[in-house]
Amino acid sequence: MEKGLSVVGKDVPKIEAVGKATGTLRYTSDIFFPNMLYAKILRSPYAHARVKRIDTSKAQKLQGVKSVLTFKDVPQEPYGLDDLGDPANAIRDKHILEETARYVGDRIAVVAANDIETCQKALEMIDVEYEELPAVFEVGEALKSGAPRVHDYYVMGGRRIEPRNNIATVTTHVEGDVEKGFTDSEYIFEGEYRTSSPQQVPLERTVVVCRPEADGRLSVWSTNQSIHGLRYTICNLLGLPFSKVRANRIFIGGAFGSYIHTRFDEPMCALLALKTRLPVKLQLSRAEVFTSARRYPAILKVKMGFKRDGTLVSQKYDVTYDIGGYDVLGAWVVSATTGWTYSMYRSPHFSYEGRGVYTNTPPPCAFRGFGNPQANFAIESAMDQVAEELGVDPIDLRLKNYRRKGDLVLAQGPKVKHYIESCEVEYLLRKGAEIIGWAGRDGVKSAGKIRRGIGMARGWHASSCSGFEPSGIADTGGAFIKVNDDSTVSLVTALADAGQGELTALAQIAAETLGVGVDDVIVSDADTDNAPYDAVTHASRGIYVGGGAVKLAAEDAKKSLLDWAGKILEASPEDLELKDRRVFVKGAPSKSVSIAQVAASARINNWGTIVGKSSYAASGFAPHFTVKFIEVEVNTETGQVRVVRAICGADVGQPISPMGVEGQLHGGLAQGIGFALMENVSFDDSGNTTNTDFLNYKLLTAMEVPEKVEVFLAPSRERTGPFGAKGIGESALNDVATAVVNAIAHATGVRFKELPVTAEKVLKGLRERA
Amino acid sequence: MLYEFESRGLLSGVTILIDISKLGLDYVKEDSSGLRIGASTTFTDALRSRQINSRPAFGALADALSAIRPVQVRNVATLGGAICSGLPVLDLPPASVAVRAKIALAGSRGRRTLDVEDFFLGFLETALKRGEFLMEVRVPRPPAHTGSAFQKLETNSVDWAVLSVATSVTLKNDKVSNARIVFGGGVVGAVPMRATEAEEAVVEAAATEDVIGRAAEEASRSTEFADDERASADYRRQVARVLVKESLANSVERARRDKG
Amino acid sequence: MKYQTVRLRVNGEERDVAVKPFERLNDVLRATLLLTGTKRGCDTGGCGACTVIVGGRPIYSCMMPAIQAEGKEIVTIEGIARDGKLDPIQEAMIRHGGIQCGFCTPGVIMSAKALLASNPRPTEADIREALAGNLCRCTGYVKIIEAVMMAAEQSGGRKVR
Repeated sequence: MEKGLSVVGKDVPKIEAVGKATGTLRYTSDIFFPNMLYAKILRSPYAHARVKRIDTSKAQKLQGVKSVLTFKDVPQEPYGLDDLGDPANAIRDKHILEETARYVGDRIAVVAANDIETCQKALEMIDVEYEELPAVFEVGEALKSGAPRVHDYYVMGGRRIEPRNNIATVTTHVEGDVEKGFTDSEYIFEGEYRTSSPQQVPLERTVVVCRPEADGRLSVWSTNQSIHGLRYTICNLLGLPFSKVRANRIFIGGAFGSYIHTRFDEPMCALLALKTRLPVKLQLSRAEVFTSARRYPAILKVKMGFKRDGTLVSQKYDVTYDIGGYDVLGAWVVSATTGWTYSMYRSPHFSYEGRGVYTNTPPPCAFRGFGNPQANFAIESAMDQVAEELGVDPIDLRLKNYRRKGDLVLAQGPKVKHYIESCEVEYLLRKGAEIIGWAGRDGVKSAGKIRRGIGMARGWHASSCSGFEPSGIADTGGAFIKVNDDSTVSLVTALADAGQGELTALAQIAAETLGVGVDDVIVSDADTDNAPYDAVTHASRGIYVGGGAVKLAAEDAKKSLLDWAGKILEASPEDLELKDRRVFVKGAPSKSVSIAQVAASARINNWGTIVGKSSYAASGFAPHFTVKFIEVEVNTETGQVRVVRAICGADVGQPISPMGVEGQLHGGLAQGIGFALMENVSFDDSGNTTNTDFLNYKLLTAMEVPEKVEVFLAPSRERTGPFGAKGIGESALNDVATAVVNAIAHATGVRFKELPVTAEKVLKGLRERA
Repeated sequence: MLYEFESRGLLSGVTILIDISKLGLDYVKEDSSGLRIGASTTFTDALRSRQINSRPAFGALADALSAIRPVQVRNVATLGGAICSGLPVLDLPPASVAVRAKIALAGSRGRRTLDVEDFFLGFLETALKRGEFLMEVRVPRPPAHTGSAFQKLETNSVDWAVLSVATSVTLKNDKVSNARIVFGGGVVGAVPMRATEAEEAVVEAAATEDVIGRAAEEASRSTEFADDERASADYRRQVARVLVKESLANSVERARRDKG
Repeated sequence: MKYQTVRLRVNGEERDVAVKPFERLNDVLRATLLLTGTKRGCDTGGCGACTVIVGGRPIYSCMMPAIQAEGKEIVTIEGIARDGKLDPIQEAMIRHGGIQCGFCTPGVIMSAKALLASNPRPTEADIREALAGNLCRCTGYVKIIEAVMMAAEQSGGRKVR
């Protein structure tokens, strides 16, 4: 850990906490403009159908209705999401509104009216004749020859591509020769794992507000993790120059990855606002939120070859993702799983083949971990099983094989490469084991109706999408700083804050660099007009890249600050240091001047104004590592599983806000337990989502979260991160579900390879074992 | 509940809704005939009443009332509302059958009383006639040494029951003189379902663990359980054994403590 | 659409509002009275973000017709701080890290406030039960429960294990 820090590394209340605690902070949901219209989407009741005829005339005549749009009113060329990579590689298979519906809930028309009730009435008055088409709901079915085609073709790089067997995308990566590796192995393990589709469940329902301005521009507020991405996509789709749209950063009531892309509702809302010349708010109902985003379900086949002593020789991964009716981030998650499978353990031989398959279901999108929780479930379950079969302690097996300092790791694709520097995996494993009592874990087991068990898993995630070679993924950031006459510091950054405390951490970084308090930093309102480009707040890169940019900008401002302070103190800038809003001569504490005075002097004497700027490109993705040790109680009569204790250990380098890191680990724990035991967006055999409310979609409440939760951080420092920091957001979740399932295996002797592990499945597994 | 129905399109034929919450029907009284609970009594008020907590015989009611979570719902949900909903998956209906509740209905054609068991006709269907509303829930004074209990299996704490069961037992010289075993959520037929064969198996028998176990087996065997997204019929059947056993054991323990 | 006039007493102030038939209290608070501190996370009383205190009890404002709140004291998050001074629950949530995205926060604070008003010395189990109807996706509840416990201790209730 860093020494001599005054602000970084301290628990500070978040800068916006008072506003949130008093209900005064406004979210996009809370925006009410005069004359604002509301919008609602007409959705297909069929999983696959062509709109033969659509008549909106009655709806358009309804009193209060201002606009009704169908597929005829939107750009006809299919589009793809291409703001983060080479546009030539984007899969273009969607339109703002569709003529052919590809999932139940697909967008057929949109209405803007004076109020929601009128919108609802108008939707009922739109006359649609559908021609139902055959549909597929599972990848197994979709892959069969002769299966209905979800898309006859998509466009990529100007060419039409026909997905064969509904496969939209494939990624492969090979090192060495896995088959040779298997022949060299003394023990082979094979397993197949299936992960489910939890929903992100942000508490704030998805919403976008667009307001046309008098000068012809359009202002946008949205639950979106990238203001620049949002502007880019809306403008490209609607054929507008970027200068026409101003996307505003606003606090988001939860995201968890569901908003890293520009959604369907955002360009719809923009179109309506431009057509009606009135502000428009389009907010999804909770039921619509459940059908607009979820985790990519995966089938993971694992084959590993070991020496008898537990040394890993060869790893072969085959992963099939269900990408739903359109490719939102399917190609990305398939590519990213290269890194998630590659980077856990070392072996001379490795191969990964992943594919994304279309089905007629609501398209999933990014969700915390983005393929890593899926990969982790397969790998860390496998390691647990291997340890048992080889008679090796599960922790020793990890210690023997984990990728460590100096090793190459990959992240969101084969081209995203990094050599590990800071890595405290061993510390985490040993300390976690000590805290939970791993050595005596077999002693907690009991023979009665309630069986206890202890399990563990380790995980990691990247802190950005950059590597030491060009990664092919947009990942830069930037910041502006100015130092004001009263020692306060204004900071402009495009970063989103959906609750992780990004903006507070960036304020801490700026404050630490400039020797002021966190309360002295004003994180300014930001929009696409004033804020330098930042790709998107995702991939656990907020602090590592966003914070890196802020640190650089603050250091830039520090140059002129010290220069001018030096004039006043008659000292050389190298002999000066900043502390408590003052500039001191090193070693002479009586010689100092306040920052405020330096700024004032600079102004009066026409030296200039203290500003700083940065443009920052990281050259690596500094993995952050975690371990989760979980203790469960299994009721053998009902199959119900309770997590009674959880130990979460993390190596985040230098934590900027330890309280913030803890909060991330707690939140990831709850989401991970839900992923393990109960969360899954489910479909019936016509493709309808069957659980679109909180009664039927089960997640953890305050009564289910474990009574004993402990967090510990490894002493660590990452050379390449601001003040030694790395990310935490996703590693907080990635290994939780696996640890729970490993604990259940320890308690019951039953190994579950499919999520979620419901009470019913546990009871069935126990009976089969008996 | 109003908005739940509305969101599912169940109010589309309704033009007028009459609010009966100000008719003075929020009370919990006790007289020689038993408990009388006004239809507009909230779960929270009922739970806090001295009367419901006065005897272990009313345990099933207290259990069911506190099993409804969260507290925000208990503060507005009423006994009348829960019973008239026609949703057996709610906790109150099976508990009310276990304690042999009667309901008093009033309407433009006069008043009548029904056994609550005869009130539930099907999914969202009750014996309420046009122009009628539920005025009062009456729990007849149980004989001394009566105990009742309710429990449910749920996925998380704010769930509807995957399976629920309410039981009541009256002991005479430590033999079971009367018993009810009522399933709520998780059965086919969408009404609270009494496991009559299992009830007969315990009556006249000593209140032992063995007898309870056999009754639980019988209840599990003879009841038709539902297959749905929450659980399969097979799972419910297995868990029913466990729940009935626990519930009967609770009822017996309470019956022993109940002084009348 | 026929509007009804209803008199609501919100945060100590009488407000006469025109409401649509069966308009939810939540919509009246947020869209008519522009008290947007109370949130709306779902439509069927499942998340708790809409929790306000009516007649001293926490309820889901998205599930209560506004007309049913007439004649009762309604307290929203805007009415919790007194004379600009934050309530101990608000202070504890801020200081202790119980607030991440903050969308569940007003509802959580209202539920906690109602709990401590009727039970100044809650156990951890009491707090969990009182918050069971307030979903939080960010914090995993740990720091929220701790913050409410701290606020209880701070307000004079002694620590109960």
